Amino acid sequence: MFREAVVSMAGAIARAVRDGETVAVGTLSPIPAAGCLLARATRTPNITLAMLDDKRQASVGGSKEFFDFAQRGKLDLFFLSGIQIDAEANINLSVVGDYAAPKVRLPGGAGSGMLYYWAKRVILFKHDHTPRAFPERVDFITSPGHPSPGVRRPGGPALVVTPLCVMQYDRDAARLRLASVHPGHTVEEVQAATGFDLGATADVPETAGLSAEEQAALDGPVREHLLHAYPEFVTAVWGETTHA
Amino acid sequence: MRVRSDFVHMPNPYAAGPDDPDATVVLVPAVTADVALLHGFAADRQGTAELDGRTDDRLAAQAADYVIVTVERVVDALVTPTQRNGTLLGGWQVHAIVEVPHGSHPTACAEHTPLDAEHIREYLAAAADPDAWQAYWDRYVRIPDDPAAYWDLVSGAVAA
Repeated sequence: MFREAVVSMAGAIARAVRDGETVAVGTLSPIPAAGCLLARATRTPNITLAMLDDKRQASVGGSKEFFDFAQRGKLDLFFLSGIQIDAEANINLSVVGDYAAPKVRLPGGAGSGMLYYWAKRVILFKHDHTPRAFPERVDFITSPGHPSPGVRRPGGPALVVTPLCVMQYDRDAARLRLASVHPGHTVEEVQAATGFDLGATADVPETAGLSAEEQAALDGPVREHLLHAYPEFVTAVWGETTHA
Repeated sequence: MRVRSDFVHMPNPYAAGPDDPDATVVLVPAVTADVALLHGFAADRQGTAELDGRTDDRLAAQAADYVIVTVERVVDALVTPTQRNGTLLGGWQVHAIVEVPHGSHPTACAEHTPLDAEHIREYLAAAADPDAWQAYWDRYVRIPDDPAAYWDLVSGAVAA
């Protein structure tokens, strides 16, 4: 089940990448990393890809170097997550419960307050898909889906990718809509797992699977590259292997 | 502002006009510290310290009044970084250097010490209870004679 979810999510991400984009994958993001590496190996060979967890990635400026890069408008595509994502694509990385007296105090936004505004397109991803993970309204807005009036916001949410489905951000409605359901799952199942109304669910297509070429790339060079940043993830998806 | 009363919302002196999306800006006060305690790769006796450039250690050093850097090893003269993403912090910003191999444990130090998630879980459990904390303190801080003894104690549990 886990492997199938990873394949569906990585495939959906790979298909969303546009050739020539400057793409960054932040820390603790193995599925976006897999998706971007898959895109580069198949559809979008000309992307510029910065994988911040890759031990071989040159960087001496810490997070300031990366944040300044985004604020100069250089970042076309980025990935964010959160303990909660709500109907308006607000994300919560701050607290569960009341901010003044939290049930759980989380590490915080890690720059997402700014990056959600300045990356031209942001794909949200989540490893769990439950009504508590996707409530109507987050407990705390670390970064909002829509801009406040009069505030410059070059970028924002494009898609949400979960183990069950892909959602699309509807800019006019400022709301998330169901875009596709992964193979082996149903629209009813996805709606039951979501704490907000996904809207019109008739004629929602199945998330496209991987072509033979994409599957081979994922199991080959993508897997090899992921070892440099996410060795435990590689073991979890592909199992233990020995190297020649 | 609603959550942080110390954030200041003010007119932007560089705004093109009142309809400029950047007509106002929010000022956030700097975070400062009395002491920054960092772990790096190497240092020399002039206090030049090699930090992992992928981290925010340089910012932490610049945000603090007093900077202590523990390092894997002290060398005679640190002129260029010794490993990938090493970045040199001039001794003029450093107050104290201590040679502590594996001094980052249980957190990671690239090419020297892997992350010890099991130990962090043990620490978190101990930190939640006064008696458990006393036991942790005795076992890992008070009793080991020196950093080498500490490393011998914990490295048996660390995966290669």
